[in-house]
Amino acid sequence: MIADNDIALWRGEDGQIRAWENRCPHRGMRLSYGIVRGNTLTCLYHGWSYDGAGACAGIPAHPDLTPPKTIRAKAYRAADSGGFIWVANPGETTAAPSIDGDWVPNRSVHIDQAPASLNELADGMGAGLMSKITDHAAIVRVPGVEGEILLAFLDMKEHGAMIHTSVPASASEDAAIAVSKLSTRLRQVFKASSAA
Amino acid sequence: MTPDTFTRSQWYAIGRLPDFEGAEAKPVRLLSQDLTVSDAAGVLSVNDADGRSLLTQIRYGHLWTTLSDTPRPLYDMPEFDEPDRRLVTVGGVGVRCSGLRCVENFLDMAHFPFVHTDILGVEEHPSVESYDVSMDAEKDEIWATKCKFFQPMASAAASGGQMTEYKYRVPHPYSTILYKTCPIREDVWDLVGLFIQPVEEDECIVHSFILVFDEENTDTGLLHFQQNIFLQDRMILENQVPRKLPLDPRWELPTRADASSIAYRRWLKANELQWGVALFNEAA
Repeated sequence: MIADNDIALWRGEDGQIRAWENRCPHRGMRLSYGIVRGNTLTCLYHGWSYDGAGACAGIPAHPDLTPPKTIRAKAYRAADSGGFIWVANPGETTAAPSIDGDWVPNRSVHIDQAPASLNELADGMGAGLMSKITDHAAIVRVPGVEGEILLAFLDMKEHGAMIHTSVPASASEDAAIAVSKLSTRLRQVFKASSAA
Repeated sequence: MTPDTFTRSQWYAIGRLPDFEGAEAKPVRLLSQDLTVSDAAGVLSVNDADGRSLLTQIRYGHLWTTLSDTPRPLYDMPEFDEPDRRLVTVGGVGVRCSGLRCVENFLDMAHFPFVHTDILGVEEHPSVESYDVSMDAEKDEIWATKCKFFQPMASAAASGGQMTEYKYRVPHPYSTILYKTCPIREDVWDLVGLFIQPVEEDECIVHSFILVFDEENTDTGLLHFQQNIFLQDRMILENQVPRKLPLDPRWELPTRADASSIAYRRWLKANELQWGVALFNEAA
């Protein structure tokens, strides 16, 4: 879910990540039920297929028909970086984050109450901001935990938020476990009942 | 939203007779209203929340009622009076979408190879040949005729693959009937149909029936065939977005195979049906 929009995420044979509005333009079926073949996504309902750019590539009911160019899945900008998949809000024009180094995804947890800001989230984790990446992501450090942590959150308003962390590929197992525990503890910090 | 005149003026099936045996103010929901059904020594009555008694009739194996005092007459299906036919009623199945979406799915052949794989269609034969769609102006109903589709197992009585010929009829915004080639008799049609009880704008109960010539299958066998097909459809119906039916063609793009769906949406629009319809400005 991005800004109340249901998203279908998929990766083709080419490895590229795609984030599309989760409905087939034909009859509204959720594309997340579809089937990935090569670099196309096929809708489960009528087998309409879409190429990696979102253009309709085939309508099985009419094998000889070249699908009109107007039939397109609505695509959001999406990118891989820092062990995360990033999806741009509709209308967002800035480039996708490009995070240096090799990172491995560590933990994703849901919290009931979305933090008001990145600072509030970092405070809740006992972390200090090292460098800000976006309004919702930063590299942080936690005293006593070896190495840097990539921390991001997705604000889902009344549905709370998703918190994601990555650690450097070089991080020790102990550091990875420590970050995972810190992430899990955020559920207590941002509980619905503690909301003002 | 309160139901529009076209929706309000219809008769709706709300269950089979045995469903109400001995009922004492059994709750039933129709068009966002709470109703009750009572059985007084075999006579069924329906009341609204204010205690007003609603019109009822028993037809096609079901109890029908209407919110209107001057409803449009319930459509005729003379096949119900033909001897030797077997009627199997499936019972109500709740579906979390507008009943209008269920009608449209029922009219659709293009999904057979993908949703009813190896039963009503196979992926190797996905092609939908052109068919005729017409309006019966006098009865104000839609007919789609000369529909042909390759089916590996068209019905419980089918023994192998065949080109099945179909006719579809939409005599009511929430009812649709399929007339299909009878696998064991020539020159007659088997009927399968849906009587949909719209509960809310985006929620319904589907009462379906089978009226066929079949000497081999048990009622249970026919029921299971129908249930299997409908549960495959329900998985789709509950994952269409939005749950209400969009009538604006900018929102959902049809192709030639959707001729019956296009006619259905136009007909609903021409009758100024609004309840259960998604408005374009609601789109994200």
